[in-house]
Amino acid sequence: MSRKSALLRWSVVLGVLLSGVFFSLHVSINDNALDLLPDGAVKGDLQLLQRLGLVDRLFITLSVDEKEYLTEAAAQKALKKSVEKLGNTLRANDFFSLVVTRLPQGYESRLFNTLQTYLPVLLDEKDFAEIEHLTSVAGLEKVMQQNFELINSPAGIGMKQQVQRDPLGLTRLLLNKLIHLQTEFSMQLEDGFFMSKDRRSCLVFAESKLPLTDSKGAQTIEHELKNAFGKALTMGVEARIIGSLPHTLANSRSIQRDLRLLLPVATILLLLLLGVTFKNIRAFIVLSVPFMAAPPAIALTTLFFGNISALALGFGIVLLGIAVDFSIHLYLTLSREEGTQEKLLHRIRRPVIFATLTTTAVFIILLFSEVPSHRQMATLALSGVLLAVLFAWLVIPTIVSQKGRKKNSIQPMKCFLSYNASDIRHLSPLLQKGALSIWIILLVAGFLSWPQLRYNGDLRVLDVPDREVLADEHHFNVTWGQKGDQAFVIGVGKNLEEALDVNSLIYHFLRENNFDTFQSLAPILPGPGVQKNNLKLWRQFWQARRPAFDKQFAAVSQNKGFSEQAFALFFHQLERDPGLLFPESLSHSPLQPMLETMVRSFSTAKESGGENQFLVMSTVAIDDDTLPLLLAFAEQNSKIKVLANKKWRAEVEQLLRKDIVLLCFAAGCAIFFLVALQFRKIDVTFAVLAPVLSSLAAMSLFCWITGGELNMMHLIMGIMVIGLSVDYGIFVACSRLTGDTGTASMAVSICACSSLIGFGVLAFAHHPALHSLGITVLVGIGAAWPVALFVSPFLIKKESRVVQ
Amino acid sequence: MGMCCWPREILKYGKISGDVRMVKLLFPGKIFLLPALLLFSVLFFSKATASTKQNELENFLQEIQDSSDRVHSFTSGFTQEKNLSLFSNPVIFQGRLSIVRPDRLRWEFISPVPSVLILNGEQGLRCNDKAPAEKFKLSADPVMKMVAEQLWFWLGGDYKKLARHHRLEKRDPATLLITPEDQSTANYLETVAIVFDEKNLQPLQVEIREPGGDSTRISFHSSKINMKIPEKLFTQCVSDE
Repeated sequence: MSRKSALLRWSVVLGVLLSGVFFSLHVSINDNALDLLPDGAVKGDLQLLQRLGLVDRLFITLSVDEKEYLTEAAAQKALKKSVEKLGNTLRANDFFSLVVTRLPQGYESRLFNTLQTYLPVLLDEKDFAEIEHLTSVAGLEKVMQQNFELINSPAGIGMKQQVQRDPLGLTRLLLNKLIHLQTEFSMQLEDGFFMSKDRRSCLVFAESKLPLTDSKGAQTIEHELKNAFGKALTMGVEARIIGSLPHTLANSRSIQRDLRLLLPVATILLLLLLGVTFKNIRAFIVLSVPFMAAPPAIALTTLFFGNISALALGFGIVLLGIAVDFSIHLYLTLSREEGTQEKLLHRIRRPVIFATLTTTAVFIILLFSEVPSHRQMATLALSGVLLAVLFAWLVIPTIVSQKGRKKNSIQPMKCFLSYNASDIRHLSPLLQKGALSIWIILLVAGFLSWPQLRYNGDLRVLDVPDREVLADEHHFNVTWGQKGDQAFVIGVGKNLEEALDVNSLIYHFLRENNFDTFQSLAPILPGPGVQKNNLKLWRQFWQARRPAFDKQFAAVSQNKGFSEQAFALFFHQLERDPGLLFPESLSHSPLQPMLETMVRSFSTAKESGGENQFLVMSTVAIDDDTLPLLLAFAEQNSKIKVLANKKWRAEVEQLLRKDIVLLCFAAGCAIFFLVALQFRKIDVTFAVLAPVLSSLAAMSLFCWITGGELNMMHLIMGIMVIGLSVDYGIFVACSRLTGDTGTASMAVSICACSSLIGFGVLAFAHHPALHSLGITVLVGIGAAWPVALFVSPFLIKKESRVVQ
Repeated sequence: MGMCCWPREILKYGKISGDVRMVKLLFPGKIFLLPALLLFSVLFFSKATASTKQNELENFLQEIQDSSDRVHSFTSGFTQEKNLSLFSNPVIFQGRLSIVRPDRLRWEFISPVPSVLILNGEQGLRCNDKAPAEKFKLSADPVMKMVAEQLWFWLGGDYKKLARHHRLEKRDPATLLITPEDQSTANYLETVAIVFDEKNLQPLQVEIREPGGDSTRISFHSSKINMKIPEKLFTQCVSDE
C-alpha cells in the first residue's frame, strides 16, 4: 500500500473520529431509571407517580437515642428541636420543595373553624341520619347538657365560641371523616409533630426538585441532606432516609465500585492476551479501532435521541467491543497468511461482510424494543459496529508491513489459541465423536431446561441488595408499622373541579365496597358536583324541619339555662350560603401540606396539546382480592388511574417478557435466514449456527442450575451473545470451506478470550445487573467458542468444501 | 390631664424643680413651644409613674413568688361563678382543687354536675358520672393542652414565668392583673385578675374576663397549704375524700 493511500485512509478515520469527539463533547447524558422501562401504560403510570411527586419524595425518620439524655422528656425535646431545625434548613434550600415536619400550632381549632364554615356543602346523605337524631328532642336534651358541662368546665372559655356556632356538634361528624386523611403509617400527632408510638422517632417528608432516579441528582440531594443534618441534628439524634434516593445511590456506588476493580483487571488481562498472542505493538491499534468508532457513534445516537441514557452509553460501548473481532480477524489474516494484501483482503471480505450483516441484524432488531434505553443501546452499537468495520478495513491494512507479514506468517500450532480448525481432520475419530456427543448432550440438556425457566421481569432483581438500605427500610417498617401493599388511585381532570369530582367518585366506590384503609381528600374536599348536591340536601333537610325545630331547640336550650340569643350564630349559619369549598380556601389551613401532596397539576407535553391536567390522589391498602376490584373500576372510567406496585410490576414483567421474547425470536430468525442465505447449504448453516445453539443451551442450563430464573439482563446480553457466537461460526465455516491456512480459528479464539475477559470479569461483580451481564457472556461465549473450534468444522461435509 | 394643673402635678411628684415661671424664663415669648414642653413633661411624668409602678409590681411579684415557692401543695374548695351572655343567669359550680407542684393538679366539680379533670405531668384524665374515665396526653390533645397551660399559668405559682408571656399590673390591695400578649389567647381572654390573701399571699380569687364582657370568677375557700395529698387523687377520678 502506498504511503499516500495510507495517509488518506488515516485522514478519513481521524477526521471522522475528531468530528465525533467534537459532537460528543456536547452530549447530554441522563441516567434516569425510567428509561429502563418499556414505553406505554407502565411508563405512563410511573410518569404519573413522578408528577405526584412520589418518585422524588424523601421519607426522613429522625430518631433520638434516649441514653444521651437525662430524661425521656429532654430526649423528646431535642428530637422535636432537630425536626424543627431540619425543616427550616430544608425549606431554605432551593433543592427541596414541600417540606412537611409538623402541623401548625393550633391546627385543631383552625381546622374546626374552617370546616364549620362549610358544613352545608360537606355533610353528605349518610350524615343526615345522625343529624336527624341530634335534632330530635332526646338528642337535643343530651347535646345541650354536654354543652352546658363543657362551657362550665376549665375548657369552657376556649370552647365557648365553637359551642355557640355549632351547638349540635355537627362539625364532629366531619372530624370523624378525617380518619380518611390519616396515612397508612402508624403514628401519633404530638404538638403537631408526626411521632412514632414509642415517641423516639419523628417523620419528616420532603420532595426533591431534582429527579432521584438520576444518580447525579441523587448525589446532589444526598450532599445537601448531609449538610442539613449536620446543621440541624442535635446530640443523639440520627436520620434515616427511605425512598428512591438510597436505592439510586446504592446502585450507582455498587456499579462504580465494581467497575473500579474489574475494569483494570480486565484491561491488564486483555493487554496480556494481546501481548502474548500478537507480540507486536501494532496490536494496540487493532484493539483501539472499535474505540475510535465510539465518539462518532455516540454523536450519531445523540443526533437521533437528543440525549443518551448513561446505561445505554455504558452497555452500548460494551457491545461496541464486539467490533474488535473484525479488527483481529483482519489483522491476523493480513499479518499471518501468505499472499498479496489484495488477495488476502478479498478472501477475508466474505466472512467479514457475513459477520457484519448478522451482527447488525441483531442490533437492528433491538431497535424495535419497547424500552428506550435498549433502542439507544442498539443505535449506538449499530452505528459503532458499522463504523468500526469501516475503520478496520481502512486502517488495519496500513499497519501490516510486508516485513511483518513474513515474520508473522503462520506457524505450526503450538497452543490452544493457535489451534487450526482445518486440523479437525487430524483429531482422532474418538475425539471427534466425543466432542460431538458432549455438544449433543449440551443441546438436549439446554432444550430440556428451557421450559423450566421462569422469566422474572421485576426490575428489583437488578437492584443491589445494599445492607444499609435494607436496614433503613426495616427500621422504617418497624417504626412506622407500614403494612402490606398500597395502590394510588388518581382522579384526572382537565380542571381542578373535574379532578375533584372524579376523586369523589373514587371515594364513593371505596366506601361502597368496604375498603377499610384508605386515604382520601374527598370527605373534606368533595368535588363541586357533590358539594352542590350536599347543599341541596342540607337546605331540604332544614326546610322540612324549621321553624318547628327552632322552637324545640329554644325550649331545650333555655331549659338548660342558655339564653334566648345564645345560639344566634348557629341559626344564622343555617340560613347562610357558604359557597363551594375549593382548595384555595384550605390553603392556609392545617390541611395545606396534605393538599399539596394529594392534589397536583401539570401541563402535558406540547405534542399532546400542552393542556393543563389536574390530579387528585387517594391511597388504598390492597390485597389480591381488592386490587382486581379497583382495576375493574378504573377500566370503566378513563379519568381514573390505578397505580400499584403489584399491578405495574406485573405489567412491566409482561411487557418486558413480550418484548424480549419477540426480540430473541426475531434475532434468531434473522440470523438463521441470513446464514441460510449466505451459505445455502444445510450442513454449513448448521455448522455456523452450532455455536449459537450451544451458547443458548449453555445459558439455559446454567440459569436452571442457579435457580431457574431469567432476568432482563440475561436476555438482552443473550441477544448479544447470539450476535457474537454466530460470527465465530461464520469465520470458522468460511475458513473450513476455503481451505485456508487457518488463522480464522486463532482469531476466533482470541476474540472469544477477549470477550470472556472483557465481559466475563463482570460475572464477579457484586451488582446484580453487572453480574447477570457477565455470567451470561461467560457461559454463552464459554460454550460457543469450543463448539466453533471442535464441532462446527466437523459438521461441514466434504462435498460442501469441494463445491466452495 | 388639663393644662390648668400640669405644673402642679409636676411639682407634686418633685421631678421638675421650679414652677411655671421657670418655663417663662426659659422660653420668654415663645408660647408656641408650650405644647412641646407639655409633651416632654407628660412623657417624663409617665415614665416616672411607670417606673414607680414597675418597682411596685416587681416587689409584689417577688413577694408572691417567694410565698409560692414555699408552697409545695395547695388544696382548697372553690366556687365558680360564670356570668356569660350565653346563659340567662349566672351559673355557679362548687368544687375542690388540689395542686402538688410542679405538675399535678386535680380540678373537681362537686355540684351541680360532678366531674373531674386531672393533670399529671404529660398525662391527663377526665371523667364524669355518665361516661367512663378518659385518658389523654397533653401533647396529643391540643384543646386540653391549652386548658392545662392556662390552669398552670394562673394556679401554678410560677409568677416569673407568667411575666414572660403576659403584661402584668398590680392592683390594690393585692391583686395581679394579667393581660395576654399572644393574640390567639387574647381572642378569647381579655384579662385575668388574681386576688391574693394579703396575709399569706395565696390566691383567694381568680376572675377571668373575656372579650364581649363575659366573665368567670373562681373564689377559693378553706385553703390549706403544704398538706400531704394522696397520690391517688392524681391517678384516679374516684376519691375517698
